[in-house]
Amino acid sequence: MNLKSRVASLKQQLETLFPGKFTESRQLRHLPTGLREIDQGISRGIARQRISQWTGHISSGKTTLLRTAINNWCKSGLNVAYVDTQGKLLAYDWANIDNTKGKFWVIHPPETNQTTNTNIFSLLPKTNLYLQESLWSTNELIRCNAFDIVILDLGNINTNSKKQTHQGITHNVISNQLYVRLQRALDKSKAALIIVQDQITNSHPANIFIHTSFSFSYGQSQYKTTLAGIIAIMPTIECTISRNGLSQRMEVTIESSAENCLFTHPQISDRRTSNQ
Amino acid sequence: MVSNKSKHRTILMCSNEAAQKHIYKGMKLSEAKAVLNNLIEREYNPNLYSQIQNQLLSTFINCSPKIANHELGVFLLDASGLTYLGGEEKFCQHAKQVAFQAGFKHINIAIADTFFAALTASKLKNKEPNLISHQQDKAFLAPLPIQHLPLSFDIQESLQHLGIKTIGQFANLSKEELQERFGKHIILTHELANGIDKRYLCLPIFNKEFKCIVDIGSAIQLLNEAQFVIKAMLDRLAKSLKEQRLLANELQIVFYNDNDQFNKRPIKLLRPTNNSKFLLEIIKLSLAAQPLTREFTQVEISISQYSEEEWQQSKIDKQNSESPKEFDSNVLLIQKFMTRLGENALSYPIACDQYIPEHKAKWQPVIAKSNSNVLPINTTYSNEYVPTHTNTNNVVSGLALRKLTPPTPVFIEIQGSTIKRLLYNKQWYIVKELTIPERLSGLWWNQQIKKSYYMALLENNTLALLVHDHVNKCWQLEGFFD
Repeated sequence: MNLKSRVASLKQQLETLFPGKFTESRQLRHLPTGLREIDQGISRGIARQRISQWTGHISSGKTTLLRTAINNWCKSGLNVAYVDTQGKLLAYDWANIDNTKGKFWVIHPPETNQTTNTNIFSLLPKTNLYLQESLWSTNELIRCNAFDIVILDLGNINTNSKKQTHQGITHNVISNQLYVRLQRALDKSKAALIIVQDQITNSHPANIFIHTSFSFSYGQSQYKTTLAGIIAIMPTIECTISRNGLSQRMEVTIESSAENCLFTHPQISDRRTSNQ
Repeated sequence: MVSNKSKHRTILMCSNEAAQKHIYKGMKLSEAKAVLNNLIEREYNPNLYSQIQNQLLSTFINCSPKIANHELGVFLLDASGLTYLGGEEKFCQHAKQVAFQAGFKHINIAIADTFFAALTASKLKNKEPNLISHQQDKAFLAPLPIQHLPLSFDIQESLQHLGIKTIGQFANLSKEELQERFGKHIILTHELANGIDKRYLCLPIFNKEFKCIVDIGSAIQLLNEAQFVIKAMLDRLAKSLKEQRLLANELQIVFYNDNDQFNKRPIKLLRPTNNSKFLLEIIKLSLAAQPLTREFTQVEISISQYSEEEWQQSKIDKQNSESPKEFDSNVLLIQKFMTRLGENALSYPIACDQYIPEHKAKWQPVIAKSNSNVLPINTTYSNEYVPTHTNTNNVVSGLALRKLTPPTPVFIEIQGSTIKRLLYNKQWYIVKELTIPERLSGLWWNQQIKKSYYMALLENNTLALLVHDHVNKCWQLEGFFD
């Protein structure tokens, strides 16, 4: 038995233990993001039927990059569902996404008036309720086979409410059982799942359910200036892609064209506003 | 009978005895009491009276199949073809007998060719029953005063001043002249005065009731234990809906604990259906979202709103799928989200005709409501403009904001004319860089907004949207760019 066949049989055995982790990437279908740096890196986009992690500190540019990718997906006719667990998205940031070909639907947290009186969830903290409903929504969206990409945005739920065991190890609020459930739903569908969350501490143990991990951080600041002063601050985004034990670092730049409002509504000068 | 509103209580109807003592419909209660000391007032109960009206309606069907409700206590019956059924006298006797059996003592009956003539004749006390011969309606109405016509008080007064006192005089007036002086609506009254009434009777439509009540006998807490009961009830309701070619639009489920109603939940259906399996799924979802707080011994399911079966599927949204299979899958998905998370849970962003950041765009529910106040704008031109003029491929450039709900007030430390530090979440942050403000104001007709928007780079490499609210005179952190 030569080395190649030994490696192949080893991968096969490992695949039975950890499904999806050791299959050849060629067998999986990837969704290119339209971001050159990511598509040409080791990840080759976002894998269908797998869970990808999209993390970064606040202002690391992760949501901005994701929005660009969503716009590209919708333009290509792919359907995207975004589960906004904490209801932090602002409509005007997303209004220019071209959804003529593909759908872009956002699922907001449950209405507070619906979950007041008789709901047993009202006894739980709001974060738990939102997380519970978001996980249910994600599961349903994957199972319905109507969406190509399902995004579960946990925001800072993880960092705020991580559990700590007596040994001092921090655990993700999404337990392994929940990951298994989501992975099972993905196995029966064609969708790709992206879990977006604020940066988790480095001590967090590696999660075997995550196929590809994209970690973002704030690089250097770029300023757009005029005679009056700075009009915009844009960061360079540093991205680390980790997959199958390999990792790759790169820098992603985003271009600032202009404010979206300039193209949606002509600005009317308001004489009552002081220039001082 | 008086209206049960707290202010301006008015007389809705009164007895003949009260009418003789100058009490009339529409009179204020205080005025009526001033006219008549020993006035006995009764509160109007619309539900009770409509129930009795319907009961009487179903009783009068024995006399004539074509029947209509005119107003409270007034019914119109089709008396045509009575020559073969014993004549008009016998018809009147039969109608009286039916009304007496229902417990009514004072009954006025009149027969005429038209609605209006019969209605007017029934109000006259000189003859009972008042039978108007065939094609004699105009002649019958002619000597009567114009107060019998459905005219406003002002028009009646004007006519009186012109010397027109009877319906006959009114009928002889020129139609064009009347229209010119009083408006188009008087033409209908003129036709009535001439014995022309185009209203016809048809078979009455009764409200159908679809309701199932099951007394389980023992206390049950989990739905699984009573699932077969609910399934059987839904099967029965669905069967009766199918028989009548109807679809349920809204379902109502009520839970009792020993005759004590403790939970009542209406469940709106996204698409009308008579599929019992689908209805069961929806009830299960509703109970999963809002579980019961007590055990139940009795359950009642009713169809509160229904519609006729349509064979054409309605579109769910503008970007809907082509294949019927995907369409059904979408409907089920949307219904699930609507039942569990609320009507606005599933939405998509839509740009609007505003320039204040909070109002530039809105989340439009996937199931668009008719009363939606969003004014969408066309963004296609910007998608073409931006790539050619800015050398970028994306309109959605710039950083996305993660808003804080609600915006958090912050303390600001200003040195000279620049902001040095801000206090947020019990911690001071040094402001490294600050953009020049974008000053926006507007919405003065509703709730005035006058704000300056700053992008602040904090010491921990966090980009925040800092807002100076000039109206409320405060600084707020709207969110963080991400």
